[in-house]
Amino acid sequence: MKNISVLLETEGTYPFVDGGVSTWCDILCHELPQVDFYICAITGDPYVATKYNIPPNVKQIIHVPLWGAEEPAEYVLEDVPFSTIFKKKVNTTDSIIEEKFLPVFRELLHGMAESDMHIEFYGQMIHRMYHYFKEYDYKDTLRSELVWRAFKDEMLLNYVDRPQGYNEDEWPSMFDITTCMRWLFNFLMPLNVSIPRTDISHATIAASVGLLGIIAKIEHGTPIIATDHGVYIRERYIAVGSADLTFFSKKFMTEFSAFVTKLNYLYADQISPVCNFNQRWELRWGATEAKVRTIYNGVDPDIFVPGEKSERTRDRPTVVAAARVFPLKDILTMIRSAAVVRESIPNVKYIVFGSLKADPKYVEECRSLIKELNLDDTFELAGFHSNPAQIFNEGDISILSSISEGFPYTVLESMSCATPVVGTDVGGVREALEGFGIVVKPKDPEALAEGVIRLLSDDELRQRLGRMAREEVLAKFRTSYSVSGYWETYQQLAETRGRIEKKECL
Amino acid sequence: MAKQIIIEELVDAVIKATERPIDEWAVAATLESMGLRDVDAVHDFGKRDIFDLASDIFQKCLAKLQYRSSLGEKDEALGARSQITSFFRFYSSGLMFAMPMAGQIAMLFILRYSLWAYFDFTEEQATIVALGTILGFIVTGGFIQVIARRGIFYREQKLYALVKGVCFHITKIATVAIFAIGIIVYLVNALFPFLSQQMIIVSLMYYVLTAHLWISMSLLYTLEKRLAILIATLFGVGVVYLVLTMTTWDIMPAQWCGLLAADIMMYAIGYIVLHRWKQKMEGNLRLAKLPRESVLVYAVRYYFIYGTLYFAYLFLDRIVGWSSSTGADVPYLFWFRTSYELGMDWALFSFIIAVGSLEYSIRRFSQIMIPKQKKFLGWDSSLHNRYFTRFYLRQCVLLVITTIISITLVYYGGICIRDHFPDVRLVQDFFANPLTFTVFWAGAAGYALTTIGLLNCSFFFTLSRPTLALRAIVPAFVVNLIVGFILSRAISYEYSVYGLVAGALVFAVISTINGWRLMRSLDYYYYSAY
Repeated sequence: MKNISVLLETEGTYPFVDGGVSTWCDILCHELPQVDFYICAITGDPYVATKYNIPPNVKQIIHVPLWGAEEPAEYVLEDVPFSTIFKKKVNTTDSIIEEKFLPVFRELLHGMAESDMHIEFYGQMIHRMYHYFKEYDYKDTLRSELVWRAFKDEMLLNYVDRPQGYNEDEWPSMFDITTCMRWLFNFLMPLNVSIPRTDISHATIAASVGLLGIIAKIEHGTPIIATDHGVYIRERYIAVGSADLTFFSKKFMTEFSAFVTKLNYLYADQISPVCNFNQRWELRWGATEAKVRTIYNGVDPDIFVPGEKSERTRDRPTVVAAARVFPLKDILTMIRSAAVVRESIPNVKYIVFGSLKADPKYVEECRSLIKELNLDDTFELAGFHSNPAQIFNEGDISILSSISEGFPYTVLESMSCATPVVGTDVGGVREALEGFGIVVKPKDPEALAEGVIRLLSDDELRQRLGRMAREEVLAKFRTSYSVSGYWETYQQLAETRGRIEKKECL
Repeated sequence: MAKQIIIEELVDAVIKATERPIDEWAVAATLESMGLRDVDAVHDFGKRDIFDLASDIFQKCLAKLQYRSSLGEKDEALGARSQITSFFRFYSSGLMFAMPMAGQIAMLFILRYSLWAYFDFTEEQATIVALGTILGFIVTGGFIQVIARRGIFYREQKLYALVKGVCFHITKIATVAIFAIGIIVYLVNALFPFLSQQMIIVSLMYYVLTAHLWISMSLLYTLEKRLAILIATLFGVGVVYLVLTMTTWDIMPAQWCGLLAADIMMYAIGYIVLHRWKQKMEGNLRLAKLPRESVLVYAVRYYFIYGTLYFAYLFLDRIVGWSSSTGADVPYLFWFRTSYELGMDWALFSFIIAVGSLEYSIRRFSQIMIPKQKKFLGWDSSLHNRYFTRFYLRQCVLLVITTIISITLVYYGGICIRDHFPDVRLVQDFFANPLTFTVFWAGAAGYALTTIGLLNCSFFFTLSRPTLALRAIVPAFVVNLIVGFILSRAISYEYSVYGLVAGALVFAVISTINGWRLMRSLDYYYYSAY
């Protein structure tokens, strides 16, 4: 029987960048050898190398760097003969742009400004744009004066007529218009690739990369599954909100993100968040309850096994955390909780394992607080740990103080090691931890400390929760369960595809 | 503690985090990123959920925000003080570019020789050397442009491995081209002799060594090691001096040694700098690789053509004039004329002084571009373009003034030397022929007009529009050739200099028209400068 083929669409993750989503992709590719994966990976810049051992069932990796290429042909169309690219360039004339591209381009800009969900139409626009770029040159088109003028007209349409209808800080400057059009040049880069024909498209994030699946669906009826580890639009709002940009640029950036999110949810046949928490946003952004089916992440309980505490922590009540040190992990609250715990358990030891490179300024802030609270002997920023499976056996309990999460692997890993967790009630943490650990309010050092003290001072409770946590992982959060959830989905969607094709044939 | 947080504090926190939230969703995402949950929205604020709370807070944010456009904010880069300091900084930096050439001329006056020139060359020897060095310029002109453009493009992105890759790759291709063209010239001369075979071999020695001098110079220019260029070329002259004083060798082999030493030194410095830069690279940047050959060729093709044509244009008057026998008897098809060359060299001084102004104009343009773009509203593109058109015209005027001043200074400087040192042989030789004065004035006019063309081309290159430069240099080259050819054959050989004047006029006029048009639509050209 022919293998099912899947176009796995990644953005800023597998196989070029490591992290939780990449690990998940890697597991999926290795654990489903009966599936042929075609990976389309969007990255920020072109200079990347695969960070994973790529299994033989990964048949193709299409790399799409959004930034850093002077000529998109340098990287995106690496396998296309230059003579073909050159021909496209020669064919890209002003009259072609005016006749074939501008109407679609203007519609796309309208679509971005749409506030409701009438966007089926815009999926067709994306599809037409994709076909245009198959015949004509991407860079020469988007760099043309006609496109620039059209972009400017559309962006300024409302402002020119009625500038007083907007606050002064909403007025775009020339620089805003220039910047936004240059962004668009980069954001639309995925439309420049040649999409392999597969049975299923699997977007690992409901972002720009998902546009490829939408095109495949319109063109061949290829069904789509979208997995939300975090919710893309929510994360964009957070990142763009705090960025050093003007109001207009922020608005443009979020409008584009909202546009692709809505399109992704609209065209997806199944939306699978990694925890129910994500559904709160998904359902408000166009996902329907009928489409949403949570597939939890899983861990390998044979790798994350309970073990003896190491020598260095054996004599002290120890709290461990696996977290990169940056603001969303709220390590400052964790440090403050350590000060509270020390009042009751003077020899307590907190150890945070995780990279200190993500935000050096924040790391310094943490170090200052440790010094200020005189916690040098109590709180340790231990840096990167090469063996994640050992981290949780270093401590009696583990801790998670994040203020924002999806469905963190670290919680499952700790549970799998029978190390009970005190975690903040963010993202899907409660879904994993409730009844098997202690869930506390985020940003509340006293509550966090209270949970830690409770577990450290009650051996029986700690051991019982640890045991139950391990059992819960064995029953619900194994890698194999997660993988089989996707395998079942692939099979169902592949069948759907068969039906669609048969119907078309009839 | 969180229980005491009142809505007003949340409003302040959201404004602090986002400066100004875009919409209710932005507020909801921000609240969640602060650790607030649906349960907190219900218990602490009596709302249905975070989204309901966000809606309320968004409205409160709108009511509380003070709206202020950032357009009126002062930018230091646009102030008068910045303009003055930038002028001196960039002008001197531009002059630094001309220092190696100035150093060679100074050596010529001090020692009577430089790396490839010598006051006591016979006209036959000078012909050989001129042919070699001019061919070196023309053959390497395109490669020099490509190394500089592409190298700087990668250097600015800190992709040092690619700077090294592209510099070495182009140098290798250039080396092959230099030798291939050298062999072709040798074979053509063997079949259709226009110089004796011995002369052509000597000429080709100068050609190969000076060609590598220009390539290695462009390498160091790309790496911003301008002082190293000066030191290496002076070191080369030092080697010539040592060979002449310590051996019985003639000036020509001595100059070859000097050129070779300068070439090796510059390549070595280039290699060491590139190697160190590459070592400094961190993270993913180390993975950068050059694009495939076809893409690279496509990306640099116009720069290559421009570079080749520019140097051909610059030396065309000599080639045309020295290949004319009208007004003088010459033994070969191509014959060096000392008084003509002296006039052109004299004029070249004014060119060097004016180059500093070019550097200022283009760097100032880059310096003010973004701050100015931020000052104009999106719908005020005509005002924006008008501002930059005026800026452009000011730069043209500045260049014209600088050029007039430099021509005047150079002329009277020459006259002053002639009047104050009438007994010095060198000075006597220099001003011996009135033709030198005629050529000086025409050459100075030609170079002055050329600088205007160069100013425009600098804008074109900065905005990634090399075709606009080609549209000016191609007709300029053709006019230079036709006018110079006709006049040098119809009247006298030295009239080829008017070919340069006519070509330069075409270069200046067409490029200025293109420059003007570019500035009139600068909003578009700036957007598309990638």
